[in-house]
Amino acid sequence: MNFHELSRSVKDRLVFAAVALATLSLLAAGAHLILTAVVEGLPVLLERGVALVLEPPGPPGGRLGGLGPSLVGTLVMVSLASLAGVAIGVPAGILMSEYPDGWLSRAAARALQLIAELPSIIVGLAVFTLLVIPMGRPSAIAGAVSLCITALPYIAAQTRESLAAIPLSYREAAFSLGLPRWKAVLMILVPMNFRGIATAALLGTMRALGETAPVLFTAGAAFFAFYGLDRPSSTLSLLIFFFAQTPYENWKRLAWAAVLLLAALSMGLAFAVRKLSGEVRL
Amino acid sequence: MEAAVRIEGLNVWYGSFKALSDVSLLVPTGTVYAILGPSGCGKSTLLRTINKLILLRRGVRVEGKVEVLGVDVYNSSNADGVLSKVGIVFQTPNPFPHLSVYDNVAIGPKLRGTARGRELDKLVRWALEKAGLWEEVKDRLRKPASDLSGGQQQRLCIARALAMKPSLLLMDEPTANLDPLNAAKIEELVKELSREITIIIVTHDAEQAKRLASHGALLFMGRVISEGPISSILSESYNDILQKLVNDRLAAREAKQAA
Repeated sequence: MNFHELSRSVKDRLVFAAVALATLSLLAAGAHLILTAVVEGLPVLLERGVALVLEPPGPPGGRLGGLGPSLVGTLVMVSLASLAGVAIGVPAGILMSEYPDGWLSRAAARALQLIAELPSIIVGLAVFTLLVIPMGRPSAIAGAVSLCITALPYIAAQTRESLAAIPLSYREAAFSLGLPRWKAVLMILVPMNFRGIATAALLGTMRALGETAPVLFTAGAAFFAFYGLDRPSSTLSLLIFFFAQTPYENWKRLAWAAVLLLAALSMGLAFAVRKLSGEVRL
Repeated sequence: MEAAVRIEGLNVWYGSFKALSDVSLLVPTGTVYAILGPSGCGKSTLLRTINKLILLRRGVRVEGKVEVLGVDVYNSSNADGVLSKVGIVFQTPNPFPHLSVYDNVAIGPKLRGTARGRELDKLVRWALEKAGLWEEVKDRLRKPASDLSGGQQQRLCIARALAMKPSLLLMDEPTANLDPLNAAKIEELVKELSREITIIIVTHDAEQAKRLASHGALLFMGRVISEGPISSILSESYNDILQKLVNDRLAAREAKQAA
């Protein structure tokens, strides 16, 4: 082996080692994240069992209690936000994909781009001034609205991209049947792309589930009961944010349990998204 | 002679690339008309200009007059009405992958509201019979269309087009992706259908054009080189014609460089 070959082989090994190190440190960080959540959260889950998702938290420093009201608040707000997000975002995505040159479509694209670029806490502030102040209090509705706004750009963009990915040949077939354009789009291309749109909806739900900043000013911090749609409520992410900062051991442990629950829900959704989008058959 | 399609002074651009230059032709009603030429000469573009599918491509510009069944489709409010009588079959079979065999044929009339219920069943059967596919699929109408073989899928696409009850059928190299046996089946079908409707078929195969068509146009580099009865445009051998065209072009370029 001459010097040239040797130096190449050394370089090759060095680069490989660097890449391996980078990969491993990323994996380690991820593993640490999940492991900590499991190590800290699982005992709480095992200790409380079903009561964890049914009962309200215990008093500060007292018995453990559960995450019931925050879980209900999360489910209510995320469902409302996703439903509204799909109801607005999917049509917007269809519009942007199929009528890209229309004024409404351009306006929608601009607006959604703006929202996506905005730090999500500003969305929360906007809803605070538009809904919370007029209503006189934070509420599940206001929280749902801010989560919906945060999720919208993702739902619309994913819908648009999935429609744009339909091969031209199917598009031509759909438009060759003597149908008005809107009918070919809504009755043939959109159903053909059902999986893409379901993926968009799930991605939006995932987004809404994970966000904390938008609900900070809007959802309230009612961790001990669910009072209704127009009353203060809370989400798991808010519970983590508030309880983790308290000095009370039982609340800190509840926060960990909430971390585990939230991570499990998110990963479940992510798995569903991968399943759906991976099996797009066109 | 009555014209199913009359094109005058047609120019088509993709961005700055000119795909068709000053194309004029006349497709007599009731004939099989072949659009012939080598790959990339603008045949498919020309076909898609007739039913306006060309407008699905971005940056496309169409200039000139395209009259289909008597209506100027680029300048008439009735273009959609006329184009619902124009069916098309593509080079690669493209049945809708999310629909069953039945629904692939039924979807056009169903969505246009021209047939429903038992009437729709009858129409679907009629179209599948016309396309020579009924016997092969009558027991699996509810199965996904993607389960069919390539040749069957292409005949399904023909049935889908026929279910529109077209007066004009456009075919873009419909046998190019099929084996000889399936290709022969499609050719038989074209002959049979031509008794009732006008057919425009794009092909680069001069023999196929001779077998099927009575009239045609020969395209080269986006221009019509000759047009009329098929015997007159193919009086010389196709290869000789192409060879001559290429030579002329080279000669012209050399002359230009010399000057």
